[in-house]
Amino acid sequence: MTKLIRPALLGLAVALAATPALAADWKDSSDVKDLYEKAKKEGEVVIWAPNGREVDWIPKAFAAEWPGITVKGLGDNDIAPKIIAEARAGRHEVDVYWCSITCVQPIVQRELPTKIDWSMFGVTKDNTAFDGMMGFTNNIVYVVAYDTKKMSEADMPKTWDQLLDPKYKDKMTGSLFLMPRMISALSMKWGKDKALDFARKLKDTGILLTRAPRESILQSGERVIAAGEVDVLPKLWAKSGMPVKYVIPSPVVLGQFGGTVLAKAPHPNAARLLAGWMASKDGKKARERDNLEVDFRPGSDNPEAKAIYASGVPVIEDTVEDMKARAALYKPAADILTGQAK
Amino acid sequence: MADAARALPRRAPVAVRQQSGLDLWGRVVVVAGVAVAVYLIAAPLAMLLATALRGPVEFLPFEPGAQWTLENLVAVYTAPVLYQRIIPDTLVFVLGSVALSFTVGFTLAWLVERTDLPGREAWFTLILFPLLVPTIVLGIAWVFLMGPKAGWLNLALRALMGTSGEGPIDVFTMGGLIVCQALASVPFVFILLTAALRTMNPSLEEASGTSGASPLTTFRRVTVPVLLPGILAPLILVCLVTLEQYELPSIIGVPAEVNVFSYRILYELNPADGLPNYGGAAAVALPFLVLGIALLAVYNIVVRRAEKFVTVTGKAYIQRRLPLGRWRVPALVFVGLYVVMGALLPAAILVWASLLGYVPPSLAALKTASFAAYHRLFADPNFWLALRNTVIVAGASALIISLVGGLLGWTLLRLRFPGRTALDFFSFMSIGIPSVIAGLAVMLLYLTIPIGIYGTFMILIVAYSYRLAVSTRLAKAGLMQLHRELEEASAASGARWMSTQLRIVLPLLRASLFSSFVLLFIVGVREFTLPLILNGPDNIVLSVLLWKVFQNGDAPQAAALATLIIALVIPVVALARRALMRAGG
Repeated sequence: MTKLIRPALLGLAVALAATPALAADWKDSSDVKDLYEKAKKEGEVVIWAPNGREVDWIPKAFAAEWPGITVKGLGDNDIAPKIIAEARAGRHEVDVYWCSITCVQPIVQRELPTKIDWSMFGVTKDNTAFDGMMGFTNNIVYVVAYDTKKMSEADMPKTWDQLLDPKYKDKMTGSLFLMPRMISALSMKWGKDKALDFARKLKDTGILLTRAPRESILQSGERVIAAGEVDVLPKLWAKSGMPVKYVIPSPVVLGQFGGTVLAKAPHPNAARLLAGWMASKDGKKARERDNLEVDFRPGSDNPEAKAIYASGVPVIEDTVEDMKARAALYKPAADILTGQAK
Repeated sequence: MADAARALPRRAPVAVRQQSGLDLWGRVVVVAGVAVAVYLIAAPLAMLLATALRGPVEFLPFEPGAQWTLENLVAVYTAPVLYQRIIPDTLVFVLGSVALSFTVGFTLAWLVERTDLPGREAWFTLILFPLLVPTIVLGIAWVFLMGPKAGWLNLALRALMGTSGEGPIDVFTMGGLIVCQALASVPFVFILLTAALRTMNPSLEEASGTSGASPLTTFRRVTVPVLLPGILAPLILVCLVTLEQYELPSIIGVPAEVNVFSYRILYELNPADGLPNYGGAAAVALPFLVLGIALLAVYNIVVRRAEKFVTVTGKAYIQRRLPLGRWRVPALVFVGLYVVMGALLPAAILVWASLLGYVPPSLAALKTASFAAYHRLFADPNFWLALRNTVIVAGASALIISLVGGLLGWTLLRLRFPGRTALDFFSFMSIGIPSVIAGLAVMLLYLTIPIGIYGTFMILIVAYSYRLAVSTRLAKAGLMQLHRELEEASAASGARWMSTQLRIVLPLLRASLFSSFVLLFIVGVREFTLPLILNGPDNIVLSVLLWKVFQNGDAPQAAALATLIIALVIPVVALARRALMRAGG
């Protein structure tokens, strides 16, 4: 027995050693320690993202693990044109750019980010994109949120096309910004015709599509269901005291987000450390804890993600290869939802 | 005799100097003012025109790889939906809301400035309320009030009528959108009209009354014709401003399947992938320019003989107010109704939401009211930075625009020089430039010109200051009421040009300048597209903070911030109004 156990243990040790640095180990590597010392000398790092909520949590969380480096954040929907315009003018203010793969792509096309060694942060290659320029940090998942005082989980749809059930007529609200994007993503599984037909029939349910905050529509009682929201929003509403929960209908629709380091970052070492930390398991845990945003990719530690993959429901991932095809139906779906087309 | 006449030297330059009273310093000031005006407008205007013709969408307009192309125009103007839905919806929306807002706004302005309506000063500030509230917040408040299922007004009406279900009011209709937009536009019309009504010499109306004409006849045959420039300018401006509105159409219009032109701009700037389509957005904005030029041409034809509209001469007059008599109560009801719908109910919603969120009203809910949203705001250092920046940026830009616009208005009206008409149209075209294009232009300009204002609040002051159309129109309309003889008499008495302007013209133009300053201060506080584009860690303003809070899904904090914005602006408006009244304007 001892003869069997020892080689097995040895084999296990070899396998572990061959695995890229695990969450608990990567921070202890000499490369990371060296990087941290260089980053401390720089003293600060600037991160830009599409909105303020996505950066506001970072300074405190990062400082808890990497003291001595101040994080400054900026949130703006039009960050990509700003980065491009500033780069063309020779002005480089931003170190890290965090966004979805679709909004990072224009920056990548202009070769503004740089490749970094993600493996030193325990990030595997399948959690990166654009040939190592982007490290994945989290996903959005499209959900159906509901007022728990007026609806129950049993009342909620199991699949997206069940939203067309007459029992949901005049009960739903949704985002004008998100809904066409979700329908366009659904076309990857359903095909173009079914997706657009879904858009038409969804319109007929009397769904209140708006750019107004849907939580105010739910709170007022004007509607009781918010369809096609991203998971983090109902979590925030619930955290603020609203009686709201959500379900994730099938097929599961994901959006992919991550960070890039700009090639001419004014604080290159601090930038690498921040981006690497955000993509690492530690960063993902901090993001989930402090900002309620989750990594839903296969291999995630998140229980909800694990349950989805274990259930076998189809998952529509957001990949660089599928970007164009996934966005192709956005305009036709938006035209239908806004009444500009039939 | 004829030979002698032909032998005389041409005296035009001297005649102009004598007519205008311009001395050397006067010329310097005028030329500098015109140069500043041109500088402020030129970059945004050039950016708009160029961007509409640059593509493809994969490149930003200024990047290598972008080319001159008509594809943006073709894509926008050959879409059948434009002619089948968008233009008809836009026409109904604009005509409906302008007609309603102008009728209500004019009546309110006349009641406040020309009659003995009780409580005028309080009404003045309350009428401005919708202008003080960021439109997106106002839209949500009206949905909360008039939503068919759970709107407060509908709940109250159903309880009174003993009915159930939905309605009777449904805000998500074209009618609902028109009413809400009109409510939001009334203060804009009101403040522009108060300037003209305030300055008008009542002697013409008195003479009409003495001759036996009824108040209605006097109003129709004397007041309106004399006030024509002062009426037409706001009418044109409110048409263009309404045409550009996208906030209420996106909150209330789209659920009602009302698709207006301006919403296409938002659409082009939020694609599913890639960069914002600035070329498409600029192409959509071009008709605003064209319409602005056309309306201004009509305006210039109607008011071409400016001396017809003079009511302020060297002869003194006392501003008398028309006694309302038995019309006092109906007038108060009319004003009160507007104030309730436009101010008090939305204010109640905002305060309620800041303490409780958007929960339906009930005594039980009231017990859970909390000032936590205000505490969070006051504890946020960004709030205090944003407050400081907002006051500085809105105040400074309003002052610059009012003064430069006033000077430009004087130049356009009092001087004759080559290119005067072109300059007039040029200044007016600023109203047709969407904020997003202006922001892009300013960003590029000050990235290129390294004078160190990029990322500071100074760049916001410059960016906000392109809106010269309003102040120039107001100044021109105000100056049309002032007889030239006042300045000529001053010049003949030996006063220099600057002295004449400071001691005679400016005091008489006080009402117009006040309206311009207040309006532009309020617009500056509310503006969020420009500061969002030019956003940096040090130049955050309250409107951007409000946008961030909205995106964070924190409705109570957003409502609290909107309430504080109103609380900031109201004292400014009230103090400015008091200063105007004390100065006898």
